[in-house]
Amino acid sequence: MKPELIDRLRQRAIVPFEVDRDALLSDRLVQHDNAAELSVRVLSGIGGFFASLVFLLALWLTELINVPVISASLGIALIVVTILLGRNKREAFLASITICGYLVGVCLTMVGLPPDVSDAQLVIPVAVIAAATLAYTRNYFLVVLAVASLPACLLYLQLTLHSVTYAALAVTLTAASLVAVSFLEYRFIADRRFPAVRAGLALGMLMTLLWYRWGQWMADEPYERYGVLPISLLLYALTAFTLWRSLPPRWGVLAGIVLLPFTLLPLLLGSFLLLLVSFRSQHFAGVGLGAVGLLYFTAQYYYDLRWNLLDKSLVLMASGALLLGLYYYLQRRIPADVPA
Amino acid sequence: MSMASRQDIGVIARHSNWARRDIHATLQREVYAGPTDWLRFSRYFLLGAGAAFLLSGIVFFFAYNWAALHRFVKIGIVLSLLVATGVFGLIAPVRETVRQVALTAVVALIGVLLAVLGQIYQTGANSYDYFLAWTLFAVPWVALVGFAPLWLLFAALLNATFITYSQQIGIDLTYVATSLLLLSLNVVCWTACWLSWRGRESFEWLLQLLALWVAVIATVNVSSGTFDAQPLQLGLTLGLAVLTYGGWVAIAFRQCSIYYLSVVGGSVLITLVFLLLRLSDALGIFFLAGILTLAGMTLLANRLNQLNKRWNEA
Repeated sequence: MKPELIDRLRQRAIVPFEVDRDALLSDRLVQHDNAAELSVRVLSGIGGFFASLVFLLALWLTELINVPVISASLGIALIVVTILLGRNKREAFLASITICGYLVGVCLTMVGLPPDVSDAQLVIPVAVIAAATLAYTRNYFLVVLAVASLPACLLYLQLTLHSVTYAALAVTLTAASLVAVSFLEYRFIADRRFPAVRAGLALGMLMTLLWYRWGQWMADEPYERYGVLPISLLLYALTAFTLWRSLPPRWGVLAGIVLLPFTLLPLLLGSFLLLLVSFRSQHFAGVGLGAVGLLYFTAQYYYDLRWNLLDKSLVLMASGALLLGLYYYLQRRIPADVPA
Repeated sequence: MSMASRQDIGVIARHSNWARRDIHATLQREVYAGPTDWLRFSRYFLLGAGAAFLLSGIVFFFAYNWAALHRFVKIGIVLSLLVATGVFGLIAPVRETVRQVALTAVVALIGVLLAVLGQIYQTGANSYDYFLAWTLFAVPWVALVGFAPLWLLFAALLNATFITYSQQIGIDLTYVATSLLLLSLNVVCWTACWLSWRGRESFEWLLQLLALWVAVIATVNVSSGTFDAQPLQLGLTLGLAVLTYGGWVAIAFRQCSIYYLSVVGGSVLITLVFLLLRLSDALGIFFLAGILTLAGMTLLANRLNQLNKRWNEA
């Protein structure tokens, strides 16, 4: 890091501050050693996930997985070793191994618990492992998995207890956490876990939205037309808050009004919230996930609607014309060659 | 003056007594999206989503078999839309992005027109000649407009044409031969794109996406076709994959880009693991495959990270 950058930041600060340059240098060296391109991170993630599947298949073939004592002990041992490995500074080097160890360890621990432990109680070890991981490691990949596993626990509860409330809770808690983490970044940015927590929440957000769509059939409750209203209102409130804090007031209010009809389409609104929050903080992985969610849920809503093709096409054309009209209005108000 | 990155701010905050209020101000000033970024975001979002929604609406309007309209009226509406969009895209005094989006819409409307003709004269909704005609009529526009989403649409059309051809006409072709032809088609597509637009930042994502698609086809073909009885086609598939991967490795070293090396490395490793799993279903093979995956990915990621650092330092 250039010394002039630190000097410039110090000059601009209202409250004077001192920097421990030696500690900063050694921290930078560790960061430099662990720097990995996104494509390499994705490759490591795929490798770890794929290897965990192969190992679980092998363990299933040996029938070791069916012996609770062996399965649980092996799982706990793997988790402990993985968390210890996660404390190693060479996290980029150990990425695939730690991901594989975590996934296999969690699966074996869940499978190996005594039979009198109910299905719903299986989320307790997962949450405990996630908490231990967050407390004891700063490893990027492990923290992402731990954070994403927390909403996954609520989704699993919907699977076992057949109540859609858990999926709704997962969506709302993840969305609220994502917005909170994004707006309170200045409080947490010094924490090494912060980038991974944000990536885990962005991943968790898309996961919970997808589950909310597909998990409906697992719930034993009758479908209620207004059942999605609390989620819709909360997602809208979070989106309006993000717009209000990010745009000039007049534009924020206009964008908020334009988005009001989206309360009828909460999954689309959730994806848009992910896109907005990530764009605001220039978190490009989140922007990508939000864009994927928007594309997917637009197509999904189209197929879910119980209208005929003509009505669907008219709504699509009207929405398109409205958006293009807004684009034209924006161009007229602020031409492209005029600075914002 | 260099702006502070998020990483810079994080590391300074960790080793100083920097006040939170100042950290917040620095993040807002140097990292977060500013008014210009939001304006650009709004423009792209409104233009992209608006055009996509309007076009989808038009497509579905004609997909709905509306008996009340006379066939000539249906054709007339699409033709008018096509001509109006084309004229707007070619001569209207608008920004380059708007022009490119309009000309991409023209190519999409060609598909709608052909679909309406198919609907009226019952040529079949998904027959290969529909996609072939659409592809052929799209060629002049693709040659005329250097817009990555249009080229992506064209690549998708080429793939759709070939896949429907192999399902409806070329049913006698073996799985390996069909896969070899699909691989060749996409290699040609990537090469044409690379020759035309290499070095253009706006096409980089398209080249990477096409490369990933080629690698997926090659990995699936070689992994699944190994024990089929067509050694010649399989050899050709393998040869083409090796040649393409070799080219990508050369490009990666020339451009100092880690992406192609990741794709090639991942594809080769996954293929090797699948070949190992197909050798035998003995228990030890599964453990060996797991270890090979872990060790291979770890070594590969390590080498790629080291290489990337060396390139960044040079």
